[in-house]
Amino acid sequence: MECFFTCTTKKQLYTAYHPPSDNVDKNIGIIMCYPFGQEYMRCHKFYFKLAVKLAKNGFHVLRFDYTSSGDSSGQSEDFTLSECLDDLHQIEKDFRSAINPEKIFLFGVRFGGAVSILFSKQADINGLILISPVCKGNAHLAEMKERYSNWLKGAFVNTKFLGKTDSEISGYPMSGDFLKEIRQLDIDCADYYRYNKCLIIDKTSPAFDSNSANVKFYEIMNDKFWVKTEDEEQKKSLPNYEMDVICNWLENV
Amino acid sequence: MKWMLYAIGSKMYNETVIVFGDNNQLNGILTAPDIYKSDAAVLLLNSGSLHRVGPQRLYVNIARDLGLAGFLSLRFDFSGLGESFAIETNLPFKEQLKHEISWAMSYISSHKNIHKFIIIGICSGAETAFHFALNNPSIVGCIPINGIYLEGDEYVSVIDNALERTKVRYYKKNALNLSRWIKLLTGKSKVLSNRKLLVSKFKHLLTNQTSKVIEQKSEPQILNRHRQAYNSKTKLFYIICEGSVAFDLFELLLKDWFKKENTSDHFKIKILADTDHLFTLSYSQSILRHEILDWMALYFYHDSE
Repeated sequence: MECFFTCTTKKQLYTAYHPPSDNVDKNIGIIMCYPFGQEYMRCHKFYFKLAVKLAKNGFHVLRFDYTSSGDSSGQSEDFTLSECLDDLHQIEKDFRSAINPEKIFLFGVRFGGAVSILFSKQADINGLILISPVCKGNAHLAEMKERYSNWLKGAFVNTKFLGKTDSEISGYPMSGDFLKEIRQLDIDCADYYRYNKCLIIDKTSPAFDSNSANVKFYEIMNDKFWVKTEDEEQKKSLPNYEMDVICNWLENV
Repeated sequence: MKWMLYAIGSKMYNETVIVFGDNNQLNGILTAPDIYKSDAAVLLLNSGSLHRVGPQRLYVNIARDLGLAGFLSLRFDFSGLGESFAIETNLPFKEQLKHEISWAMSYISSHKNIHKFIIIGICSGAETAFHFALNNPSIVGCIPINGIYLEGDEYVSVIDNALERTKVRYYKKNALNLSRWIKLLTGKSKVLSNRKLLVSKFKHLLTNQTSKVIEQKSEPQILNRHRQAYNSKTKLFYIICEGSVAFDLFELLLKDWFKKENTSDHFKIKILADTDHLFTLSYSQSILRHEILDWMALYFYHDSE
């Protein structure tokens, strides 16, 4: 694994490149897009393990932190969807020039799934691997707020310090611009169809033509592994079934 | 790989990815100030299984605060956590952690010529930091945050009582909060899953009883360790949150001793009200950041450098 900052004049993005193992190189690149906020924290280990496994199977895998998240530059309150898409554009461009893979797939859980879908409309992407992608921003926001509100009711905190309830979710500040972007996010499931290949792992199947050879749906087994929990065992567990589904699907693409 | 590298606009610190340790399996971010204001460097240790960005990115912000103030810091992942690979070893887990902290210190000493260290950790990171500081003269300061410090039988003998106290405190604090009562009465609270505990909670609320005091047949070992720390030259700043079980363990086991012995300026304790164990809300993160910076400035800031 090679870790470094991908730099532009304004920002530096933490990037981890997992080269394929010595004996097999499929010449296929996979860029991994993280979820947002608390879900990013919960998914980090899964992304790392999946990247290691895919690299062992011969893929070039790239993980990166968006601006204002993780180890990348920027303050958390400046996080926006448009910046995430800009970052992905930069990363994809650099990845192509450095590796020149025959194909590039995007992988994303939740918000990372939304970033992947939106970006694939702007760039030459060969396929998507999505786990419970966020398609309706308002629903995503409502779900995060409800979870946070429930947590607050059982926590040793004084809500008078919270300020506007919309401005922070689970300790992650949300700017007005980001909230606006999330509220406007409305991805039609039909958008999935036009891609060359698409693997969707979710609770319910999106409405797609079941005869389409391009789209493959699997029901999620470890539902909501991205949710913060106090259960120590669950904290340590990884969604191994989903990891296997992804590896198997990629082997057959 | 070939990557385009450009200079980042003017900042007061620089962040670099480093790899170190046996076979370079450990991975960290070194935050170096443009102008050094201290001859000591800061190490930030993983909080539980959370990777080095810390809860709600708290470690990133602390490292950047320190960078702006002139301190060099390293936030890294222990083997098997975050961005660091697991290391095959026959060493006990805690011994391995000590090795890894030593590797981090060696890296900074050899690359930055800094030989004094301040070590910070939350939760399990606090315990690792505290125990490492006890036996290492290079550690000149330590900020353990919400540490439990207990292990083995000592842990087993007291943890249930401490957890119960935490819950009782919670219900006392929120006795007049309607939404929290609704949560309890609609069965959405975890408390209902344990009827015995629920009854005890109501009893405590109605009678205003304090939790039972555990019977100590002899002085707890934990006191010896804190006494050892007190007698060392390392400056210690204990931070404990009201919303952490660490608060109850402190009350049960250490408070009296601290009251009696806490006469030294290198031994400070701070209880933070209205904050949870992992500083979830932004305001509590900001309080913690200020507390750390103020304490660091008091003891380790040298303006003349």
